[in-house]
Amino acid sequence: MNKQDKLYQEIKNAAEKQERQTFQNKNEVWKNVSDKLNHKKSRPMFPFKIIGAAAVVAIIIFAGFQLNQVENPFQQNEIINREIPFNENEIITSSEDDEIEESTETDFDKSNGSLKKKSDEVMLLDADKAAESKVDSDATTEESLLEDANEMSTSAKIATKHDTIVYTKRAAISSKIQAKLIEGNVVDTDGFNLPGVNVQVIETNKGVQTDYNGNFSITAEIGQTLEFSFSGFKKEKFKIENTQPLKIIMQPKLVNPNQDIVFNYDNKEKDKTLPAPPPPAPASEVIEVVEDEEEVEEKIIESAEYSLNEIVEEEEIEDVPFASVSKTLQGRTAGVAISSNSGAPGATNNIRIRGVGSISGSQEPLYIIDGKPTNGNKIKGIDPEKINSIKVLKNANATALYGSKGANGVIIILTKNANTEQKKTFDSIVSIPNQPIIPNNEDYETYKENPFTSPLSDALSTFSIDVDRAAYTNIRRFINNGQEVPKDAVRIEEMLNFFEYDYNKPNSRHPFAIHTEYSEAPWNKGHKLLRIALQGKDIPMEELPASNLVFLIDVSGSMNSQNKLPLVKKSLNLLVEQMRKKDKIALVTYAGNSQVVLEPTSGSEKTKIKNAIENLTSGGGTHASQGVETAYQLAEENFIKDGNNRVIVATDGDFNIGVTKNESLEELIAKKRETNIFLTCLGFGMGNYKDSKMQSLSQKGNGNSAYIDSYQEAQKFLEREFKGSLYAIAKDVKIQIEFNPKHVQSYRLIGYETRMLKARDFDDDTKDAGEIGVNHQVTALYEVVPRGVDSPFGEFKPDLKYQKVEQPSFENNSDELATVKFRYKPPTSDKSIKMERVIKNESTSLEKSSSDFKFATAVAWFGLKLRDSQLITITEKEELIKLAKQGLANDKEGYRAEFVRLVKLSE
Amino acid sequence: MAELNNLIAACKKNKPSAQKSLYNQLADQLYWTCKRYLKHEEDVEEALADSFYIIFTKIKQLKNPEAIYTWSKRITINHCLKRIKKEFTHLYIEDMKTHPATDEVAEAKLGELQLLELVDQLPEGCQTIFKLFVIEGYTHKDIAQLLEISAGTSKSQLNVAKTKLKTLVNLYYYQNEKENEQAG
Repeated sequence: MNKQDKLYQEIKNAAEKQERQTFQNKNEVWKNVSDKLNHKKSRPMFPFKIIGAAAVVAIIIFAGFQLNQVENPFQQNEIINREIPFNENEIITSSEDDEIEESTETDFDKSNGSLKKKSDEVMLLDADKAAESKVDSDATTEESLLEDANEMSTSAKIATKHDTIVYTKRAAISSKIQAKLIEGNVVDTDGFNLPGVNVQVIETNKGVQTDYNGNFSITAEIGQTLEFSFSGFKKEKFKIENTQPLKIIMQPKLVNPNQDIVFNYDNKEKDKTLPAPPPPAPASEVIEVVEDEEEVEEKIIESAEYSLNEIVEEEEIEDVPFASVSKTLQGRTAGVAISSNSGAPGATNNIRIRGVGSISGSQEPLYIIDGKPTNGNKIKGIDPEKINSIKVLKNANATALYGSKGANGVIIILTKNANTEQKKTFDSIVSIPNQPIIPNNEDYETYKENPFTSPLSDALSTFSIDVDRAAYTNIRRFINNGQEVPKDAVRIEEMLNFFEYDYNKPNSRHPFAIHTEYSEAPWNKGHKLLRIALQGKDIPMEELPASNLVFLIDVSGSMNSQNKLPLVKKSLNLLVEQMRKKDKIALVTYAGNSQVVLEPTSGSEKTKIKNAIENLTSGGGTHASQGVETAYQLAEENFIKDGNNRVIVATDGDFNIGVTKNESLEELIAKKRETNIFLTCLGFGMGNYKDSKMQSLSQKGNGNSAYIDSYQEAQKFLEREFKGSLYAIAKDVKIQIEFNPKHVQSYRLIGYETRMLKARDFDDDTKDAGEIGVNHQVTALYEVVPRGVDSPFGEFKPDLKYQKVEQPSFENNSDELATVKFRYKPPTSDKSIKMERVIKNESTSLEKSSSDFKFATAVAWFGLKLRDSQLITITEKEELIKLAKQGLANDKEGYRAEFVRLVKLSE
Repeated sequence: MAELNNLIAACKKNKPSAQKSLYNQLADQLYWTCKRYLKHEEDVEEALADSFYIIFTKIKQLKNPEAIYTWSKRITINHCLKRIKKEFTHLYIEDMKTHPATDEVAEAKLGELQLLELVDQLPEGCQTIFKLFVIEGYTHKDIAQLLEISAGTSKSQLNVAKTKLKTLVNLYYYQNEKENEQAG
C-alpha cells in the first residue's frame, strides 16, 4: 500500500504543479468574464430567453459569415444547415447561474466586432492544444500546428446565448493524439489461451507479449492497427476502432512446400565449447529464399521510417530493394547462395531458414538488427553498405536466445552504427552449425525407473519429497525446440509438481495437510493409482521471518549471452522488490575469483541493491568453490536466528575452474547444511546447463532449484511463488508407505527415483531429505496391482527348488490399503516429527476421480512415455490428451493448456 | 495576507480593477482544474469564464477571505461537474480478471506529466472520481452529492480506477524497461 499511496501523492503533486502554470488565453477569457460582469452591472433585465434565442440564430448566421470571410468561403452553407448542438448540458442552467442568462443582446453587439477576432483565437487555441497534448514534446512540428489550424477552419464556431463558444466538429479536434489502453485475449482455434504471443502496434512498433492467460494490455490510438504474431500461427491484424476489449483467434499456419527454393547452407563459425561438427546435413538444413506473395502486397511504399533502431539515423536509410541485402548475406556468410523467384525490381524476398527446429511450419525467421527485433519488411530499408556483419542462427541456439520467435531461425545483423555494447552482444552470439544441442554437454543423472515390487518382499517404500520443477521447464524447452527429450532429463515427480492443484490447506499444528486419492491407472489395464499429496501451509507476508539472503552470481564469460546474465539481473530485481526492511541482501560474484559486490543491505534500500545488480558484468572463468565459500561465510556472519538464511546461486552450471568434480563441491555444501543456511540454485541459459550439478547441490545443501528459461519463469518462481521458493516451512521431509499385501499384489512408485531412501533412513534424523516451502504442494503417485488382478506386472510366484513357498497370512486390517507415515523437521530444529495416515481400500473409477487426479495422471503418463517406460502397455497419445483435457478445469495460469499443447507437439 | 483581504473586499464592491487582479491570481489554477474535468478544450474556457462570473457575483458570500482558493476551486469544480453529470449514469465496471502485473505498483520512473497522462487514460467516470478523491481530496460523501451517485458507487469506482491505474503504471514501467534493455 505504501507504494500506491506514494503514487497518489505524486499524482497530486503533479497536478498541483501543473496548476501553477499559466495558460494561453488568459487575457481573452478575462475579457469574457469582464463583459459578463459589466453587462450585468449596467444593463436592466429583459425577457431574454426569447430574445436570446433570436439572438443566437442571428449570431450563428453572423458568425457563419464572419468565419467564411476569414477562412473558407465555401463553408457557408454547411454552417447554416448544420444542426446546432444547443442542448441544456452545455449551457449553465442552475439557479445560481440564472443571472448569466440575461443580457445577450448587447453582448451580441459587442461581440460582432470581436467575433472575428475570436475565430483567430480559436485557431490559436487549437494549435496550442495540439502542442499541449503532445506532452512528450516529440515532433510538434510547425506543419502539424498549421494542419490543426486548417482543420479548425472547417468547423463552425457558433456563439450561444451566453456568447460562449460551441464547436460542431468536436470529434476532429478533441480526439487528436489520444493514446488509449487496449486490452484483449488471444486464443487458438481450440479456444486455449496463447501466452507469449507478440502484440505489436504497427504504426509505432511498440509491442508486448500476452501473459499466461493470453491476455495483453497495450497503448495505442484508435485507428491504429495491432499485429499479432506467434510461431506456428498465421499473423493476425486488427484495426482498433474503440476501446472495447479484443478477442483474437489465431489460426495455425500450414506449410506450403511448393513455394520454396532450397539452397545449401554451411556456417563455418564454430562454437569452441562443443565438439567438432559433423559434415553438413542434407537438404533439411537450409536457408531458402522465397518470394512470398503476401509480403509483396503488404509492403513497398513504406517510408524509410525505421523507428526501432535508435542508432541508425533515418536519413541514412535508403529505400533499397531487398535483393541487395540478400547479396550482402551472400557475400558475408560463407556458403550462402541466394536467389529469388521473381525478377521484378523491388519485389520483397523473404529468407527462409529451415532446420530441425521448425516444428510448426511457420516460415518467417526472426530478424535482429543491432539487438532489436524487427520484421522482414524493415530489412529492405537497410543500406547494405551500412551492414557490418550478419550471423544466422538456427534451431536450439536460436530459440534459446529468442524463445519461440526464433523457432524458424534468427538472422542477426550488426550495422556499422552499432555501439560497443551492441557489438559486444553481437560478438557473444555463437552459432552452432547444422546440429541441435548435443545433450552430452548437459549432464543428467542417469537412473532406472522403479520396478514393480511385492509388499511381501519389500514391505516399505521410503523416499524424500521433492518440490523442484526444473525438469518440467527443461522438457518444455526441448519440445519447443523440436528436439527429442533426453530420457534422463525426465523426472516425473518434477513434472507433477510443476502444476498447481486444489488441495485443502492444513489446519492443524502440522505445517502441511495430507490428501490421498485412489483410482484407476489408464496405462495398464486393471491397475490402480494411489495419489498422495502434501499441501504446505500459507504464511502471510508480514509474518514471514526476516531473511538473510546472499546472492551468489556466476559472472564468468559464459554468462554473457542474452538469456543468462541479463535475465539473472531481471530475476534478482523481482526478488528485491519483495524484500522488506528487516530482510538483508548481499551480492557475491564468482568468476576467476570471487568478490563481495554488495555487503548485506536492508531490503528497504532497493535502489542501492538494484544498482549493484545492474553493474554486474561478466568475464573470466568460473571458480565456483571460492564463491561458495565466500557466500556462505557472509551468510553465517549475518545469520538471523529463527530467520530465513539462504544462499541463492544464479548460474548456467558451468563450473569449469577449480573444484569441478561433483563430489567435492557437494561435500563443501553438505557441510554448510549444518549451519542451517539453505540453498537455492537457479539455472539460466542452456547448452551449458549442468542439471545434475544443480540438483545435487541443492539437494545436498538443504534447498531447492529451478531452471529459469524466460522472464515468465522468473516471475513464476521468484514473484508469484516467492514465498514457497524462499521460505521453508519444513525440512528433511520423508515419506514411508507400507502396503497391505491382502489388497496389493505389487506396487511401484512413479518418479522419485533419485530420491529413494533406505527403509531405515526414515527414522534416522541424520539422513537428509527435501524441504517444503510456504504454500508448496508435493504429489506422488504409486501404481498398484490389486490382488486378484491378472497382470504381467503382478506378483511373480516362482517354482522354487530349495524353498517351500508358504501361503502368507494377512493381517486383520482387512479394509486398509496402506499406511503412510511422514517425518519432517521444523526449519530451525534438528528433531523430526512424525505423522501417520491410514488409507482405506476404496477406489473410484477414473471418470469419477477428481479433475486434478485426471490431469496429474495425464502428466505422469506423458512422463512415462517420454522415458520410454517399459512398464506401461497403453501409450496412445490421443488417450493421453483426452485425459489431460478432462483436467483443464483448474487451469488458473494456462499451464495445463500449455501442457496439452506440448503433448501434441511431441513425437 | 492583508493584501489579499483588501483585494477581496474591493471585489465585493465590484471594483473592476480588483476583479481583474483577483482573476489574474486565480485563473491559472482554475483553468487547469477545468481542464482536468472537461474533456473538450472548447468547454474549458467557457466553463472557466462562467466560473469566474459565479465567483465574482457570489463573492459577497465569502466570509473568510483566506479561503478564497479553496472556495473558488470548489465553485469551479461544481460548475464543471454539472456539465458532465450525464456521464455518471453509466459507469465503467471492470471485470476484475487477474493481471500478470504484480500486486505492487512498479517503481515507476515516470515524469509528472506522464503520470497525469496515465491518469487521463482511465475510463471516464471513474477517472473523474479518482481525480476528485486523490487530487482534490473530496470525501466519498462529497463526491456522491456532487455527482448524484451513491457513496458506495464512489468507493467502488475509486477502486476500479486504482486497479486500472496499477495496470497502466506497470505497463509503462515494463515497456520502459524493455525499451531500455533493448537499447543495450
